[in-house]
Amino acid sequence: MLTSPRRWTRVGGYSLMAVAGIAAMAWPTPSVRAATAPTAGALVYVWAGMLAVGGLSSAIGAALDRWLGEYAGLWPLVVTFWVYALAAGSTGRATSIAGACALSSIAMLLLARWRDVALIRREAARLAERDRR
Amino acid sequence: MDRWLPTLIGLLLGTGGAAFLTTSIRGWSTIRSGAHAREREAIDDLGRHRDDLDRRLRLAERDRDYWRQVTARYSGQLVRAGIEPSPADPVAPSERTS
Repeated sequence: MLTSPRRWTRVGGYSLMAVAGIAAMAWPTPSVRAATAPTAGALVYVWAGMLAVGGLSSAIGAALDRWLGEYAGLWPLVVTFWVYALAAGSTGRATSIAGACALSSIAMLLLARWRDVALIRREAARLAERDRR
Repeated sequence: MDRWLPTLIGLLLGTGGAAFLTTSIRGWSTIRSGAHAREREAIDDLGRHRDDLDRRLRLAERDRDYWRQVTARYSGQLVRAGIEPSPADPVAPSERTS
């Protein structure tokens, strides 16, 4: 099933994100919980759920070489990392700048990967359309 | 900060959830329309399509060069027979200004 080391790396990375989401549901992340405190902290579970769903969808897609998994699963991951960066940065402390920048950079790299997958979807759709004609 | 931060986080998460649903539906309908579901196959197909286009371009260029020589010969024959080819200085469509 897994023939290329690049796919192995992606499956590993996305699986770890899914595990992080499940762990964050069991033991909510303090920074996100504090940032969502006015909503009684309920949003922290939505955030963790999206991390788990996005990670699982992308990991399964990468493992089976199906672009749909990453095409659908990367957006929840991008958003959760931006939320995490926002929560880390909202403390206003200078020490949180490094963490906020690192988390934002992960979100941007994931967004760049989504754009690649979206290009593959668009071109596959174009070729299918041409073959139908 | 206490007010806008949870609102912003809620908006972001809502956008992410909506994007997940939209991309799932769009991706699924693309596959249903006959597009390759496997990434490797989709990329290989694009490569084959590009090779096919390259082959067609080479063929078209070879034909173009052939017909250019033929028309040059015909033009020479007309001039030698005392007939002025019309138009005397033809301009290719791609070189015409609109």
